[in-house]
Amino acid sequence: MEPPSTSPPTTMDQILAAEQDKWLADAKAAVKQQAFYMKKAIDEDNLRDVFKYSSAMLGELRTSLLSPQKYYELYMRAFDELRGLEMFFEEQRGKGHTASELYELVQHAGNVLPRLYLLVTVGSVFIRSHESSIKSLLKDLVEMCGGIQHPVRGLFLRTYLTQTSREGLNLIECKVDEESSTGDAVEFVLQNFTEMNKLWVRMKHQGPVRERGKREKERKELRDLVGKNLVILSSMEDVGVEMYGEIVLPRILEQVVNCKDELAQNYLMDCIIQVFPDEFHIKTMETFVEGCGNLHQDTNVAQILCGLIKRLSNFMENEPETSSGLFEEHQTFERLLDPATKISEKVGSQAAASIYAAILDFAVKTSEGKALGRVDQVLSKCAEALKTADVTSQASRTLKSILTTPLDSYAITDLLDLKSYPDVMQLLSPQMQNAVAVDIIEKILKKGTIIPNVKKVASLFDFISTIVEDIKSEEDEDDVDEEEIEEEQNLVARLVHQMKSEDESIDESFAILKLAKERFEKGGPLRVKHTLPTVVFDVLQLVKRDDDEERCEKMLKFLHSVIEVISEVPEPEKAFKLYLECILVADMKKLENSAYDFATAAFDIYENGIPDQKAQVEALKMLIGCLSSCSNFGEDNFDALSSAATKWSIKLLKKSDQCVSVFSCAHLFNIADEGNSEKVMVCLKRALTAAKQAQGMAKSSRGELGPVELFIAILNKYLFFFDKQEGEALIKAEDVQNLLDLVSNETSSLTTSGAEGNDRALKFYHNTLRHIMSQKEKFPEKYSALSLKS
Amino acid sequence: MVLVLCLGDLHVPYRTSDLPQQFKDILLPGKVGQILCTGDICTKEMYDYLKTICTNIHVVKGQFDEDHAYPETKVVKIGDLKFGLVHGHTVIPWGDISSLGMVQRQMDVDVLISGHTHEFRTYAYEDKLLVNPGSATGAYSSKEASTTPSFCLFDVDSTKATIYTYKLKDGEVKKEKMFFEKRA
Amino acid sequence: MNFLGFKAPVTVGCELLKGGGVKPELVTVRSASGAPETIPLYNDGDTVSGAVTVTPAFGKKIDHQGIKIELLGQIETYYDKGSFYDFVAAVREVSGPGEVKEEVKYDFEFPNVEMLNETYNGVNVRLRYVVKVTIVRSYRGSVVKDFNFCVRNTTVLPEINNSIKMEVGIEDCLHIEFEYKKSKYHLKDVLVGKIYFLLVQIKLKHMELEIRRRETTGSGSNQYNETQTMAKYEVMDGAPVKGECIPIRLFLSAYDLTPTYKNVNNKFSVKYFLNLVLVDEEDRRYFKQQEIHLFRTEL
Repeated sequence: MEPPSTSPPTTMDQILAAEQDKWLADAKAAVKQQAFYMKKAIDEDNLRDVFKYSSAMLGELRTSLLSPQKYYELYMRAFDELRGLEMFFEEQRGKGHTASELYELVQHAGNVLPRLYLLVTVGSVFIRSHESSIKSLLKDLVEMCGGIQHPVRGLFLRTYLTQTSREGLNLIECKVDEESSTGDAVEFVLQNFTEMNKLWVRMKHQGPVRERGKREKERKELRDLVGKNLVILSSMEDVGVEMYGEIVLPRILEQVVNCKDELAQNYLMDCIIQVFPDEFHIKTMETFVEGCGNLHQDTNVAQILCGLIKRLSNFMENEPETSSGLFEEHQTFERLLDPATKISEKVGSQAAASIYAAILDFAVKTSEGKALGRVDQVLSKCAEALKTADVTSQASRTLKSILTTPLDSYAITDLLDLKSYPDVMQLLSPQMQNAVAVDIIEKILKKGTIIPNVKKVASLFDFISTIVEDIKSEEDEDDVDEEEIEEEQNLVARLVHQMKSEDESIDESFAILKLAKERFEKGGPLRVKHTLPTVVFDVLQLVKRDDDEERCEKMLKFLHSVIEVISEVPEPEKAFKLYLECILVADMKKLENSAYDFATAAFDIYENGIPDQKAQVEALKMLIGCLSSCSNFGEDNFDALSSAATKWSIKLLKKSDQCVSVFSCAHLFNIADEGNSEKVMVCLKRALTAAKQAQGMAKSSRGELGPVELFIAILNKYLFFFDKQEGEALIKAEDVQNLLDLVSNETSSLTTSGAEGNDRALKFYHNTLRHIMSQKEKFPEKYSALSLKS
Repeated sequence: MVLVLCLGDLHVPYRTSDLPQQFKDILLPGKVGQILCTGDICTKEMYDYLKTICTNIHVVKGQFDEDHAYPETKVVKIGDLKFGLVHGHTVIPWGDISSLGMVQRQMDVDVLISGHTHEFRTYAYEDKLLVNPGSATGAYSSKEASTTPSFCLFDVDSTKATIYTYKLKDGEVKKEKMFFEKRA
Repeated sequence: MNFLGFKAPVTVGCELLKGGGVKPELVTVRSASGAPETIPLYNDGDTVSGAVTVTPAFGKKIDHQGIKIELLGQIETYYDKGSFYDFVAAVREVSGPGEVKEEVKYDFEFPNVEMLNETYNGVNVRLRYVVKVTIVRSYRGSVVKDFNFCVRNTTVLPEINNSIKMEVGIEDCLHIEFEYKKSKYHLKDVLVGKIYFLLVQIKLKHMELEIRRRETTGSGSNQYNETQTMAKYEVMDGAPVKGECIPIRLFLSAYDLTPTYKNVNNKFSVKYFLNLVLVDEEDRRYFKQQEIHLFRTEL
């Protein structure tokens, strides 16, 4: 037994401590003195005086002044002296006194506490004497000790009984006494345990209420005195699992439950878990868990159950083979889950959640093969139990761990079969649900898991519906944090790439993406603009590698419906860009009609959906870039498209934009194609006109030199086409020279001004000249007509 | 000597979910001094990720970048070299050398870095260099049948640069090396 | 008897024997003065015999008017100024008038004396047996010498011996049920019982069991009751709660008890009671007294 521990005292406690020390010193001195006389009497073989002085010595233990901790010290002092006394009684037995005589004689003592200490002391001699059955003696002792109802004094007396009776118990175990069986020994310990626990619990109600905290602390210090009995029971070799299950455990539980004290219950239940073997726990699981269900409401049932489960898990880790056999044979999981479910309904949400968390952990660790089914069972029970509960934030955190723990142990695709997973998620606050959803998605992305079919994808969407769907409706529109949504949705969007057929089945993958679109549509405008583009691109990827024309067209048609949703968000620019991507793929696949349809859709947006001038310029650039990359349009269709692009370019508000856009349009036409080469020229000339207009406007309105860069750029474009054409089919060297002269003129006036923009233009000019020189070197014939002035 | 990371066309999340782990393992924080990015980063998260590699980062606006703060073009001087940065979707025809050459002339740079095509390319143009680092994520391109994830590192030493190119092929990172020196 | 300082120059001794010259057992009892004395023990119906020796002082002789030996059973009541009541009286004239010059021995015998009452030393009353030797002298006063002996009688414990069981209490405060296994005990008996606490709303400190003796003397307005606590035996320490059961085991042999005496020659009675006392933290005492009957079943 360890001495009770100490903690730093406060000032008031220090005063008390000083008094305590004095009282203890006095009592110890008195014990010492009486012990001296007692030993003298022992030496003189004076039985009468031995009784007298030993009674007096033990009388010191009647004090009520000492704290349990100090009392313990005094007890130990007296305990030491009692050993000598026991030896004396043993000798007396040899000198003609029978043990039963001595047993009677000590009972003449008038005070009950010294009398019982003496009785227990002689009792051990009596037990050894074989004069009477050990069973009846133990019974008498444990009953007579009932005379001490004072908690601390009773606890220590019974502790003395516990200690001195060990030999008797051993003798019973050695089968020395025919009349006494293991059952009797067990009965004795159980009875002593019961009484000790009652006394221990009673301490709580002693003294003023305001000192309750202090007393509980003192009680805690004494708990091992009570627990010792359980240790003894566990050390009895003849107590097999049968006796444990039929007698020992039910009796202990009876007392533990009846005492209705959370401190005792918390301690003793844990004590049971710790002192008895794993096998016992496994085989008596129902009884124990049922007992848990009857504990006091303040008792931490969850912690107790978790302790049991942890113990079993450790067993599993240490002895995997033995344990798993036992777990299955005894249906440990089921026997744990069913009663725990009942308990969970009675305790708070936090406790219930931790119970399920522990069982889940157990299921994950111990049930190979069956684990997922069990995980689902746990989740199902958990969801059921907490459906109507008020889930605290702490409980939420535990539930979250219930949901995230399996993410590490199982393939996510397997977890998607857990039907109850979303139900448990429903218990959480929307924020928490989001957090779990994010966890799931991040895990999938990190592992690169592929979600391979529609069923699994549907299930995954159920799991993360909180983040995908717009559940909050309008009521808290104000709270919407767009940045947060964007971040989440980007994550969801990344997830789409993980949803695809593993064996590259286009049908399956397409079906998955159709489902994704359906689900994403439920997310509302704030979400679809982030998620749907991914669907578009993933479908385009499918189209790219699909050789089945009909299916491609079907998929492309589907994309129309997707992009329409985006345009209606409204995100016209995004929809526009996506249409362009579709045009490119359709063109690549030589699906001209589809490509044209997309182009029409894009044009429609350009004309009706993009009002902003700057955005229009941007969009037009993209459109021209896109069309210039297409190579499979028929003449008529392309004509229509390129004409429209050129028309819009000319319509742009700013002359400089017009200029750039129009000369870009030149690239839509093949200079080598006779039918179209004219159009290149038209564009370039139109660009030059626009540049001149821009210059004129700049000069007249602001007195500036105007956009010289535009002229240089047009010069570069001329050079581009000049280079590309056969000979001088379209652009004469003369045309280039004229433009070169014009630019030269314009730039010469720049040198004087020295503004930054001018500097840039000059550098552009000089670089262009160097380019021409380089071309002249490479193709002297073609460029010979061009002369550079400077 | 400055190590310059040059990459672009990440397209996360629309076209791909992340940078390949093999690249992430190479691109550890504290190694490069500058980042030149051709755009189409697409999300703030990816931008933040790039910033963990190096805070000194230059980005131009790609076709799918919605961050309007990115400029269309940018000129960065590193050592004695002038780098020009443009995404490329506005350079028509896309990826055309001559058109890029015009941009180089206009920007007056020694090295023009552009993206958009998702195809890695270095091209000695006259006495300048045109570089397309490709798509670092190997993002799908509507023009190409398939895409190889790639980026490059410039080790700039005054007027010289060693260019290390990284490509991910069959799960392995292939590294190549070339030189560029600015002519006086 | 020895006033004026004249001490009779004679020693009177007496050896008490039972019938057939058997030496009686000796017992130590408390005398009237309180000092222990060791005296012979007789039972009812015993023959009291013996020999009285009269030894004059060396060289002296004693004249007397006769010598008689009496056997008396007396009840002495102290309240009544020490009046004696002889319930047994027998006399033997062992010598007529004469003189004693040397040691003379007189044998005597009272056969089969009826001695129903036991020797008893109480507070207000004493019952004693004595062999009284009187050397009658007309002048100088007679020489009288008493020789006490003790009478104890055994009985058989009645076959009907009910337990004492009773529920007592103070409403809403304390309810106990006590149970003593028997109501009749022999003097070396063990008293066994149990106290059940059915309701405890007070904070008890301890509980003890007392054996009290009540001696009643006189009658009517002259009746005197004296109660003595013969035993005080703590049976419980601390405050029990509802449902507790406290065991009691008390060895009667440890105490100086007599059997219960009922109306001894209309002079006195001795009764025994068990008194259960509960003491609370404020030293208030709650008690319940129950009569028990004591019997002597062995000597």
